[in-house]
Amino acid sequence: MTRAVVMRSGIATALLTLVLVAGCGHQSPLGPHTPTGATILGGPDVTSASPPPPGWTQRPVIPASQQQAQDTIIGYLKKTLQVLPAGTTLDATRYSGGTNTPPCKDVDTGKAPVSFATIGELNLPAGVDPVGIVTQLGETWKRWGWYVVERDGFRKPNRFGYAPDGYILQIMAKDPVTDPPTLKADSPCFSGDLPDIRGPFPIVLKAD
Amino acid sequence: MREVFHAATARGNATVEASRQLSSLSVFDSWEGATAEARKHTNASIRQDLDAHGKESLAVAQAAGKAADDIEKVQSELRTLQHDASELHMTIDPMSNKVVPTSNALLTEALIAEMQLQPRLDKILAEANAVDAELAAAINMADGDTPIPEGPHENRPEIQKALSQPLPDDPKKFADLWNQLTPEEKDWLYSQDHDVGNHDGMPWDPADHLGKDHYNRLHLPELVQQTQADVDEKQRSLDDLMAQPNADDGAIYALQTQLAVQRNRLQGYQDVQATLNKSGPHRYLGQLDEYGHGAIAINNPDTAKRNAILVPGTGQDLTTMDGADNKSLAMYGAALDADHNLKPQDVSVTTWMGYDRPMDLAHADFPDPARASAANLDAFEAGQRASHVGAPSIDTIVGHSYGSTMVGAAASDGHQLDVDNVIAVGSPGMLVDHASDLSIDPGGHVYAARAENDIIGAAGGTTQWTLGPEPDKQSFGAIHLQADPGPSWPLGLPSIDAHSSYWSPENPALANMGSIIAGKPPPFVVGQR
Repeated sequence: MTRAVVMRSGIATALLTLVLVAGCGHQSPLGPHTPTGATILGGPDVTSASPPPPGWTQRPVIPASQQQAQDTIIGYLKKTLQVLPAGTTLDATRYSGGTNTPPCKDVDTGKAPVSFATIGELNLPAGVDPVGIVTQLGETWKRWGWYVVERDGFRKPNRFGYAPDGYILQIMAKDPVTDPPTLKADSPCFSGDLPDIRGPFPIVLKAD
Repeated sequence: MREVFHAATARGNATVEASRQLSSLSVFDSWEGATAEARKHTNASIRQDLDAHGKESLAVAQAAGKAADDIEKVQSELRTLQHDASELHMTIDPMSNKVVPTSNALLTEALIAEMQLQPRLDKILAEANAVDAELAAAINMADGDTPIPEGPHENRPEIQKALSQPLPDDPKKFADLWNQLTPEEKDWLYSQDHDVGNHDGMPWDPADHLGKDHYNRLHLPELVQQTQADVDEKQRSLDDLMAQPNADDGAIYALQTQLAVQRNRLQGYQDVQATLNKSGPHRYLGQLDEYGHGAIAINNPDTAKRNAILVPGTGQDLTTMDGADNKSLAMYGAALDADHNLKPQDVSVTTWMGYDRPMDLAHADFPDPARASAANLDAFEAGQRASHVGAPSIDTIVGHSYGSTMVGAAASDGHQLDVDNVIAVGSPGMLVDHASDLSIDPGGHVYAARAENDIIGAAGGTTQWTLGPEPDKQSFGAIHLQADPGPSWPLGLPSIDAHSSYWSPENPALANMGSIIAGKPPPFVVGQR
């Protein structure tokens, strides 16, 4: 390595480090994910961050414990199952339980903020069209006052539902669409220091 | 030490060979009566003595060999550090163990150089201390101060011969040998070398459950105990030093640095233990050593049909294993989501932290950490292939940030990565000019994903000189995967948060990675494939 390269590298590193250090204080690690790459249903196609529709406001409720995040998600999932044909279940067997706390961002020291996320498959009664279920759930979430979009960059049809409290549900058809659709949930980001203490998440979730 | 190793090995081998030949003499087989019994008894007794003597020599040889290897590693690292220090107008003060500027260094340049070099020197010092302990153990065995453990009895000549030599480095040969060993022989090898679970090619969890996972889990509490003892000792030394009226600032700084390194290492082992205890799919401990390297797999890679390895980047050491494992878990779920025909055990994702990654951005401009461990990653993947059961799995390696530079090093400059797919995520460069320069399996694919607001793009102007072009550039020739732009800083400036946004459940980059790991084409790419 030549000295010129080393010098250039060193100066740029210093500048980059300054930029990074200066920026750290302006970022809130907590809160909801920003919806991106979305198509607002009934609105124009967009390819980057979408503004929420007029009149839609979000007041993220940051979970105070993992149990609270799990309980909230189970509540939304059960409420979702209740509008689906009787006998529909959300099955996480293929995903070995289907829960995760992925980091919302990497940090230099301490624990990274995380979200509580789940994944499972909607097992529908025989004869029910999975594609129609995707559309139906999108309409249901809109009736709840959620911001609902179909996003580019994912299998279609899909619907992403953004709740006012910062939680996100997403329903997505499989490939092929005759396979059970995937239903995911994700909480707002919360402190990674919260202890990993919560009851077991149901492998098979029912509406009741 | 190398000469001691060779001498002890030769002596041990000769003795064991004499024992083997004695056992195979058929002349006494036809004898009968008291004389024959006495001769047979004497023969067996001589053979036992020879066996014991041979194994003593070989035990000393193994200890000496390991110490010699480690000494060479420390010397090599020190030479590289001295060279880098010289380039930056710095030098190493052997009295204070500090990196200090030479007379013609500029102040600002010296400060940056010290930030880059001092942590590397501290790490080398810690390794040298460990080698010192190994060396003392070898000498104690050689002069009889320390008893040498009994070896296993083995009648199969080829196994006896294999056990009397250093274990094969070649992962395939190692796997072949390991699969023929008895449980007693495996345990004996662990008693000889508690790092045995790190041998590339050892099965993760074979039928007798005596594989990488078992032996590394045995080693984990020992490493915790040793590191805790080291922390306690260094804390006492620091307290004593601080109590002195005219304590040397340099000595205090050096001790504080070493204490911080050991505390961090202890925290890392505790994070490994916490990750292994997590609910969900079973975790397997595939690598763990006293230098803070480790690897944890979700599910058993040996029996999975789809295998992925995540190589984390800058700042990601064992203390962040839990978070990195959650990224792997996100990819595990995304792969199962991409192919409904895959069963839970069909997919395995390993988080590999088997290299000394840069711990801050100041170090991440340079290729040395990646090049130093290129053989490790190359061999780890070769080991995955060697111990795999059944039809070969579809293997994908995912390098994030500097981890992609590590992947590039392991697939270039004479190294070969035995994988079907490479995914470079938020990559500053892979040490090659073009995707086709990466040595992976024939027909393999190279993918790249970069969030629009990822700060790594801003660093590319610098790292192109040291790490090569960013793989998301069209001229690089990788297939460009869609990813969310990620959050930006005010005025649309790129952010660090975008650099780690790829594993969000709402990011198409995760769905793309899942499809590739599942062995399906990525559904959403940018531009032409």
